[in-house]
Amino acid sequence: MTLAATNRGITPRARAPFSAHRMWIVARTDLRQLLRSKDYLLPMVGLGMVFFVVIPTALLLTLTRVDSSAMAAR
Amino acid sequence: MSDSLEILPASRTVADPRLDPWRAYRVRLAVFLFAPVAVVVPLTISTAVGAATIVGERERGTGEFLAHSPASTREIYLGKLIASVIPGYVTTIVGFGLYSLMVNLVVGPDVGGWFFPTAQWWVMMLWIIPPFLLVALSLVLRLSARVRSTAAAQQASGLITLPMIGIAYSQATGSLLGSGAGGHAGWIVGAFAWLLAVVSLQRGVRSVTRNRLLGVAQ
Repeated sequence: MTLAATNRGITPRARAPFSAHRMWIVARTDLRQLLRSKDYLLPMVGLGMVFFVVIPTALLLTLTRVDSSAMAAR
Repeated sequence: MSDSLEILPASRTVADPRLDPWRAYRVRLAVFLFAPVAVVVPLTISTAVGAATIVGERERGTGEFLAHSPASTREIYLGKLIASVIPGYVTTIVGFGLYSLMVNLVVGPDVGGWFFPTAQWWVMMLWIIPPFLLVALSLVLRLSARVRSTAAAQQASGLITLPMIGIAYSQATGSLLGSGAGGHAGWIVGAFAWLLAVVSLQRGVRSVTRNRLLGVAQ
């Protein structure tokens, strides 16, 4: 009974015209929460740094060193 | 490593017959072998955010406010989708910028200057990765709307994103290697992925209902 009443009350609102402004408010609220959370930001930055900077740099610099070694000559 | 690098094609933009084999390998490594990273990072980050986005509202008790807000379920769904896409994609673009800088500084002198990103990388970053991200997130948001806890959403989204990472990885790598379709593989793969993303998003909108935000859905 309560559920049916809830459904009756909310169905017309679901058919309202699409508003990019309201959509952006929902997105902005979530993004603000994420930006304020260090628990989320630090792992995200760490993941990006490890995969895009640390591993490729280490690998490419290692290859640069090997370049002049006897192994490269072989 | 040298055997595996033999199968990689010489990049059209950096092919230089004067390069000695070892330097040519390094250039190819920088151009081709790190493509998977560009796929894994955005999918991992965005999935973590997306999995908690709707079920998290219920857990925090804010789902009721959202359900009774003037925003339609479509606006809520797309807003949540954007909030999940942006962190992963921005991290990827910034990381890619740093990677490009590092590649040009370390490997650039071998080819006589800055050469990265190549044309295929631009296609991959701007045309192929976004639709794959949207497809994965449309599935994850559906899950997030249906399950009862964030932990369950994250477990289940792992099952979805692992195959998605595999598909995106193979397609991105294939397009980067320029196999087939006269070098237009990236554009074709991206077009199919965008089509799939639009269909998946259209269907995904239905998963978010006010009853689910309230936690009273059957």
